[in-house]
Amino acid sequence: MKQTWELVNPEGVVKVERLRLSKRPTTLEGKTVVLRWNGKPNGDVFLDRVAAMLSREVKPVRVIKAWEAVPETIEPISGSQELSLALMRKLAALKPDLVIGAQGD
Amino acid sequence: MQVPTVTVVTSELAGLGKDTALSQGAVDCPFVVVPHPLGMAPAEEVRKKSERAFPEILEMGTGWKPGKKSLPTKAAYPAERITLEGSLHDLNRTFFDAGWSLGLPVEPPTTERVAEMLTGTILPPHTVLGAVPPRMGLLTVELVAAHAAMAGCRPEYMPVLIAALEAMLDPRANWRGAATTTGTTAALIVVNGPIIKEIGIASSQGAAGADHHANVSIGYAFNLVADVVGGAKSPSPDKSTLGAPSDCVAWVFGENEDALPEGWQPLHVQRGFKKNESVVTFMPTYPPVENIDHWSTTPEEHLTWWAHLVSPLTAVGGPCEVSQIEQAYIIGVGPEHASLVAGKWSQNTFKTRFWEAVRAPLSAWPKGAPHLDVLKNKLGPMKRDTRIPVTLAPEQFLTVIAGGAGKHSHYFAPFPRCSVVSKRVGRPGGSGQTAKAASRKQRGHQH
Repeated sequence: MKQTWELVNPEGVVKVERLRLSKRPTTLEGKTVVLRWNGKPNGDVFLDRVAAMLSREVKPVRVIKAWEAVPETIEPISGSQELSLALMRKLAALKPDLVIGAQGD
Repeated sequence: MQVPTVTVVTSELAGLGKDTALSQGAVDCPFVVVPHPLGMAPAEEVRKKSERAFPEILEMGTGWKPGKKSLPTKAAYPAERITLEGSLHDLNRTFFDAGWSLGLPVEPPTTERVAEMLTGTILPPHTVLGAVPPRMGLLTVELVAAHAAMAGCRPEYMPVLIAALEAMLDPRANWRGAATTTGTTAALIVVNGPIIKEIGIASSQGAAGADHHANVSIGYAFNLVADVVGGAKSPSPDKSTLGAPSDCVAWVFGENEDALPEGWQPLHVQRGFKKNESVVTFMPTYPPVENIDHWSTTPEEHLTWWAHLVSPLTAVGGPCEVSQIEQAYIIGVGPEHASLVAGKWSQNTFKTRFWEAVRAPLSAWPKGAPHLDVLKNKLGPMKRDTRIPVTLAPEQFLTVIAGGAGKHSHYFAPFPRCSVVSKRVGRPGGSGQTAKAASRKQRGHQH
């Protein structure tokens, strides 16, 4: 039976502060690139190859594999904003000009 | 902390990555998408994917610029009012197409029904309980009432539903992880205390299944909120490989407190509450493992069954997330199994013996499992035949007397980084909260 329904929209609204992403370098020459592996299988293999290609294609460049330099950054599931921020601080302490992360299964 | 990033994701997880970034305010984010999967693929294939993606990684690292999309700025309260013309069938079709239902029929959240549902709580409708991940939709009490109406709840169920949602919103529960994982996770909601009988929460035969109105409708309403307000939608950002009916109706049951063995404590008392308090305990869980032991006549025999049934590898935590060894697990002990065990053992003895028996040798861990060094730091030196426990200590096992007659128990393992969270149930006119406390939000006693 057709009728008119006066309803409450159940979706709710999203209200988040816009995040301003930082500017990136125009070139990686002379810069420090940190590679971050989150511990998911083969992400390290992927980033190892990125490291090799960076060293071959960009000169000079300093590449830091975070999972070797700071093993506690291997974290498949951070679980909270606090832990994510702590992890980011550890990466930032390496003074990178760029962080490349490999995520996913 | 200002560091530019490039994130590499596989095609199957790109949507989740972008949705997650958006929920944090990153309207645009530099992603490089590579064909799924990386895991379990031969190393040479992974290297080729890396080589093919490399030019784009370089471009994203140096040339990427954000777009000009904007974020919505609507107020959370009051929720938008909408008018629909048509039949109930038409309404359900519209809701499903808009992403406002799970695929099951809903009752229309009319302004009258929502107002009626709000009589079940003393919390003002504008109260914001929190932002529901992964979408980070703002959850007001008015919206809870709308979803309760859609699920067919009665107003008196509202305090239990609100307590369960508050527990889910507690950062310790890590609902974002559980709602978006490839695993088959769902909400486990256990109710304790006088509220069980006051509102008719089923706590005995088949309590977590069908035909129990309060349990089913609260479980349905919970998942409506998680899916519609929280945006945990399959196939993305909810990446569950298979999914489960518990994505539609969450696990909800009361502890069978009438069947508690003498000297054993109910779940909420184990969690630090008083026995006469009404409490909801929440844990994002993998599907339970069922113990169907019809034959044991001693606790020792029964324990042997458990020892061969579950292990640290029952959850991902064993091989992947060492943090899980610090989490709590819930053993839903069937009343008949509880009676057998309690004939000889105290509750703590059962937990200790369970902890000692349920282990797996280190040799069961995959070669590539990360964090083995952390595991060794926590547990000391180990060899391949060292038997690894599920938890660091026996008291991390919580017991709940679950269900009715029958020789069946259920082992609930949490998703990694998801703590068990308990919230006291506030009731209109009851002892759980005062109006003053309610005006500050329903932030009562919690663990």
